[in-house]
Amino acid sequence: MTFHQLGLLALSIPLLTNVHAQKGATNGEWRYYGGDAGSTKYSPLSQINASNVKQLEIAWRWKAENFGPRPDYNWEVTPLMVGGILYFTAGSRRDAVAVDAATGETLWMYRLDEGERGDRAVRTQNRGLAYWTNGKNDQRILLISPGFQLIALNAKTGIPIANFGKSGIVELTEGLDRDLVKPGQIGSSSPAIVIRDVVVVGAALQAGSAPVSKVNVPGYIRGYDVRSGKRVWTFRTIPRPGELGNETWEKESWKYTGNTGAWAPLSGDEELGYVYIPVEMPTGDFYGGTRLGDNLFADSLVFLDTRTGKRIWHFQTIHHDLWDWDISSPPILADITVDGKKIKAVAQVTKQAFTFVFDRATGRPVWPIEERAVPQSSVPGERTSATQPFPTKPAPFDRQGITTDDLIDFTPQLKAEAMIIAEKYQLGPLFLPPLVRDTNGKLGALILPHHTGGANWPGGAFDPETGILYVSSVTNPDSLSLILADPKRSDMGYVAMSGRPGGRPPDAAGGMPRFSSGEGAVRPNIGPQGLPLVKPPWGRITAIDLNSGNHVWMIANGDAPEAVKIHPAMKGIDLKNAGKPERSPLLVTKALLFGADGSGLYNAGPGAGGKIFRAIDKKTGAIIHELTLPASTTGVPITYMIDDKQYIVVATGARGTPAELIALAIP
Amino acid sequence: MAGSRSVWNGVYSKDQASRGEKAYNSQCARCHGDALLGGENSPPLVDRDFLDKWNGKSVGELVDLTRKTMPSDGPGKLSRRQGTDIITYLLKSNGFPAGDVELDSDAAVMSQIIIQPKQ
Repeated sequence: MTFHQLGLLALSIPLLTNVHAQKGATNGEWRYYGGDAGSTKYSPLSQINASNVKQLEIAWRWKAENFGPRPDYNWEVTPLMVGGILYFTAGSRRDAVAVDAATGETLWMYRLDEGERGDRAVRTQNRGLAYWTNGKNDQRILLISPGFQLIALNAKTGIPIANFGKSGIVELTEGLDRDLVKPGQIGSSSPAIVIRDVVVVGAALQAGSAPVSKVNVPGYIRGYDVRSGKRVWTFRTIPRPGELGNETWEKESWKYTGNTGAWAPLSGDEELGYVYIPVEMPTGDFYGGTRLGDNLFADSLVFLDTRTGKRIWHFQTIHHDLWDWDISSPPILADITVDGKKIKAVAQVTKQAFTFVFDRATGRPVWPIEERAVPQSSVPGERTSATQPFPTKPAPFDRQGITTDDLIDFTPQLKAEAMIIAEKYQLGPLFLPPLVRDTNGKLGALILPHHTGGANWPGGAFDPETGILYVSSVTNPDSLSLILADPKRSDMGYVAMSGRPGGRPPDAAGGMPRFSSGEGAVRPNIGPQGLPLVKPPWGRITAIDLNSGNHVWMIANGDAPEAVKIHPAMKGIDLKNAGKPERSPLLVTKALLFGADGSGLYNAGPGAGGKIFRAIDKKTGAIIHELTLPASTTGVPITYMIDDKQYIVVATGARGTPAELIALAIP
Repeated sequence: MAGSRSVWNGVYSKDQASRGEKAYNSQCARCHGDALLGGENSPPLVDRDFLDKWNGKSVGELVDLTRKTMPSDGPGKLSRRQGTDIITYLLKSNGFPAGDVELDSDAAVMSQIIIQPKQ
């Protein structure tokens, strides 16, 4: 381990105020990944408002390029701001950094060289840090390293807290009911959350489209004492015999199945003392023959008592997931008034474009959720759940399922070509299961939203003053099909045709460039001539009133991608509201909603991402101002106030353009 | 092609493939998987998927494309030697035999080595 201390800054110690999770970030700070423990991504600041937002300029830039052995381009970070200092993770080694929030000056950095376990990190994304204080002079920064260790740092100096764990470090691969956890099996891409002095840690594992084995490490949720680093509880997301839900893992599949972690950021409520855990799916994204049953607590929103880890309540959003529609964003705490009744609620947006809303104390659904019959799988050894949960309100925020009516019809010619392509696939409603390639002459099942959503980790933002939830999502179908796994490569039975799902033809990109400047590993369009297969918008922002459950407005995420606009077949066609096929990161203040084209760096469609950062009218969705940043917005923005000046800070990057933080302010 | 070899001629060494495995694990595995079976949006690098794409092409083309396009978020940073090592690990994983000498990272040499199924 090496440690560099670049500087010290005397701090005034902020008082620990009685922070209501659902009130947004307070005191002009940003103390949690999601602004507050309830992940509202809301700030009551309004110095930057509709009347002056056009004057926003870059105040400073902080370059991450030299952090880590190779540059990071897709920096999904959201900094914290406490007492005038920004704290964040940076670079491919996930160094922790403290920066002066007014000037961008680096104050300290902490670098942990983990050797092979770091090199083999299962997830190299970094989304940030957690902060804790005793309200006096003890202030700590909690870092989860790429190699899955929990480190507590002195927030003032960046020096590990000596009496936390072993010299400041807690081993996170222990206590997972496995004799051996190998480097590269488990890690985390999101920060921990600290509620009632307990550090709650989720987990991320390797993507399961074509796993080597059904045997994997379970991503249990753990709580650690923030003072000592001692593990105080473990919540088994895959229950053992005698524990609730064990019977939902048939044929002893609880013994070997892994994943089922919580890779999205977590949320919590200090008053209730609960943490809200968005649990991901089990091993095997698209084939569950190795884990028959409902698979509790996979794909569940789980309420835990923060002090004990005891399960208070859970709701499974998908039974026996075969779509990789695991819960991908932090639950949002929302105090709402429904039919005159005040409800402390929690809202969960999902990849399949649902918004599940519950009473966050009792778990009672705010609007009824119905179990409805869904299509059944034809894959040998598979057993689909007969039903799946459908919220009756709010309405889905993106299209679900696909019919020929959804295909692009800009011209009769394009529609005809799209029909010929669609014929190769099985079309159907939401929860259409994957099929074995070439079943009934079909390449695969066409899934919309596809397995990265819909919504994904940028999730939504909630305005506690108006009760409006803003959520960004993508409309991009993809084909899912399975092939028999070669037993010498995998014991899964069936694995996905990953990378080109559904036997996507090698030339699926058609005339569209697979890569172009500013893009990452794109998911080729399967529509005619390399165009998207379905009608726009391909990316959108939806405003949903959580008091009524009704949608308020929907806007496209900007105009069409450049690669579509310049396509000869698109000549003369209005694409102003076609939307970039990426999720807009969202920040909401008292005055404005902020969004952006998004990163386009991971699993997005061709032309996704862009440099535009937007100020949006909260009531109408009208664009008030567009600002061109040096690169694409890759993280969720934050805002804060120092010396009576409001700043907005956002992480940016693009393919080949190393990551930077950009601070915006009115000069 | 006069003087050309194929991947069945033992064109890399075991040590080189081990170096390649280490580099693969740190640079490629998070998307393409531990067993090279692919990931969410990353193709498998073995068996039918590999041969469907590369049959008849040269090892040189494979190294060049890899160095030009990978890792996909920030390509162009793999050295010629590192890229070549990673490809020898791919060759090993696809069952092409090791030989006594390392694969020379010289482009002219590699362009003469053809990828093909067992004849």
